[in-house]
Amino acid sequence: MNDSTASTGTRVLGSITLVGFAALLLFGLVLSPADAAQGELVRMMYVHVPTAFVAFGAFTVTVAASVAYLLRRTEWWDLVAHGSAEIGAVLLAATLVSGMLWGRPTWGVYWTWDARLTTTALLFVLVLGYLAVRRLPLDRDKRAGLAAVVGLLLLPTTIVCHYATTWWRTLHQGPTIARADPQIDGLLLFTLVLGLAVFALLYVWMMVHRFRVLYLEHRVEDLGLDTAIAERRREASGALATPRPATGPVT
Amino acid sequence: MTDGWGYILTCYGLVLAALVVIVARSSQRGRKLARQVPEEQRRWM
Repeated sequence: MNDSTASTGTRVLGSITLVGFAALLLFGLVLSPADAAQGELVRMMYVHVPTAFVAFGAFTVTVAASVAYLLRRTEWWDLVAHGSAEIGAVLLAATLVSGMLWGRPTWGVYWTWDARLTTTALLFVLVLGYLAVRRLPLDRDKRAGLAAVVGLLLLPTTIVCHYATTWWRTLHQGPTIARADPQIDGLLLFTLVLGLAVFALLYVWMMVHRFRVLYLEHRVEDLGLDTAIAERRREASGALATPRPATGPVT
Repeated sequence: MTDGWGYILTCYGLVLAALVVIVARSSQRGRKLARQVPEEQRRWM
């Protein structure tokens, strides 16, 4: 018997992701050359950029699933929105940490209130707020509806964050690959695309597992409720069946 | 500019370690919950 959230599909996907990570480490830390402007520090871009891209994608999925939940009110969409936001939060945290570690030797500071950094921090706080709503002690449907409404706020914040370097003059560099003429080529571009593919695979793999974990949480909650209701019914029927003690006049 | 290998290795190390911990914890939680739910309700198996 399989007592986990794994299946044949997730095992295959997980194995491919692991091989992908091994390749990313090889290309990112060994095979790809240093950049003419950034030197060796460009290696952090192979983590920073993919985690940011995939986190933005994860929040887009959360928004789409929230809209679908508000229209259909089905558990499936609620779980997709929840799981995707959780993974997006983890990846965005990785984006922030890798960006800070890149900023210190490049800009001389870990953090500056640049438009891109500020909007990323706002997005992170917003997704933490969304996950906090998910923990509110409310009826499940009410909580899911409220979370779906809060989840919609991720869309404008993600868009502003993504276009911050285009709309404002920022210390953070502008688009490198998300443009018609990518600003890198050769092994650097290959490693960056490899990073994007590997983190996208990781997202899909984690998404399937998180969906199943959240689904199981709901089922355990339901079983707990069913048991409690059955218990109360047994108590009630027991109380009815038990003859009440005779109460005669006090002499 | 220094070559920055300390920052690079810290970056990779922190991100990978965090991912491993999160995946391990989620997997552990999945196993714990799966044992409490009847097999017919775990449709992926």
